Amino acid sequence: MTDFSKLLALDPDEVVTHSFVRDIRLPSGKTLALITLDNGKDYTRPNTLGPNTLHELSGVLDRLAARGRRRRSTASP
Amino acid sequence: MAQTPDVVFVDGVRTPFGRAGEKGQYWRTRGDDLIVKAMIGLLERNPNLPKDRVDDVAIAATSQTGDQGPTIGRSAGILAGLPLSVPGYALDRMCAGAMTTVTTIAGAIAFGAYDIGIAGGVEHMGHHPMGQGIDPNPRFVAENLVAADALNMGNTAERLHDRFPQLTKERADHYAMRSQQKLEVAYQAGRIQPDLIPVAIQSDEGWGLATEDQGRRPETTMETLAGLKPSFRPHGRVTAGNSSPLTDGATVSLIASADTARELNLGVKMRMVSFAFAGVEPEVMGIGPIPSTEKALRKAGLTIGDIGLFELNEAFAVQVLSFLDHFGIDDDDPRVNLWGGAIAIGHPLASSGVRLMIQLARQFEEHPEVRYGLTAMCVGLGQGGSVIWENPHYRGRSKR
Repeated sequence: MTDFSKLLALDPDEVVTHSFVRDIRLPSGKTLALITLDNGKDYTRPNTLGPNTLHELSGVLDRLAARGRRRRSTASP
Repeated sequence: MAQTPDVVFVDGVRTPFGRAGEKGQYWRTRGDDLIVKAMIGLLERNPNLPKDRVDDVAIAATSQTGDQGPTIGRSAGILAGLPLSVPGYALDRMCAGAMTTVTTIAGAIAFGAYDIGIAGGVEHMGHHPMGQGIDPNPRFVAENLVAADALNMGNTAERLHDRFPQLTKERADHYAMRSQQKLEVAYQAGRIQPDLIPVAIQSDEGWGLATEDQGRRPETTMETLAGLKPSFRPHGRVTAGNSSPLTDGATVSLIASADTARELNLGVKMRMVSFAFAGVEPEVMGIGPIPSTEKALRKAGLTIGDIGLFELNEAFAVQVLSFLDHFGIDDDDPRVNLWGGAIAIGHPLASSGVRLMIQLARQFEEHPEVRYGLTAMCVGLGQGGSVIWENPHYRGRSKR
């Protein structure tokens, strides 16, 4: 695993845009994992993508990819 | 002008409905955003419509303050991306708000002033609880014009039980249970979903998507209904189970002259035949749709026997039953609320009229043997509203 610790420590004041995940049931009956990015601020402070934000998103993508593989192998919807 | 233009219902959509309150899916969604999302969905579904051809936008809301505030037909039109040249207005007839926007736009089309208009309604009852911020004139009570509790809809429903002893709690509960069951069957068959516009919703777990009505209780039984406490008076018969729940939601429709629908190659889901509104004693507002329906039938030259499908707003089960009894229709008549009603779906006051029309339009497609359908509803402070529609898919009565 690559060590990103120096990059993540770069800006202690980073406004982290968090990667939220919620499951959406599709009309087909399948499940869509919806990722939304939200820094918790209003429209006057738009989302920005700093090192911590991207690191969190990367982890979420890895987790969901693994979940997708698990689902396929168990053939559950 | 040579003749009165025919008025048609081109299309209608709505947001999924949400439970009002902090546990509701729209607690963190603005009321105006609900109608804006619905309107964008309607416009996207009808790409043949040049947006600058819309003559007017009429949007109803019972509560016209805060996030349902600034002339919502105008503000929602701007937010939905209509050109600034398209005007808009807000309207209020409490529960029949959206129904009245449709008839008002229809009137303008029939007069020849408009070719096409957008009509709908919104009510975020979580953000705008019923009766909040109103200041009724003291003369209502001081001069015995209206009973003090006539603005409490549950009490008006209890009075219907008082007035018509044959309308028992058991009948009301049975009707309510059937509403839940019918809606569930319709959902399983995918009949409701095609007209729902998904809405992005925020929660602590991030953003999600509202895709279905939230208040459904398909597991409802007569036993669970019998166990519910009366909501409005000791030993009463009206409960949360046989009433429509407090709901957030928006509905919107495209109303046009038949000629314009043809010119722009828009679909036609229903043709308007007649409409009527009527007043009754506010203390028994639930019977309002009886005189409004009689008047609409009279104007159309029809009788109740000509109506093949009924979409009745279920403010309260007892109130629908009073209508059915009056016209000699059975509680379980299959022509009535085929896919359930407001008891199961919810009743976001000023939105509900167009919700009835959306469902009737879908049923018309499935029932070419039916020529006429009725949308009708009761209205707080003692009114009823009715619109009679003709099925463009009518192919003559089936030989049953």
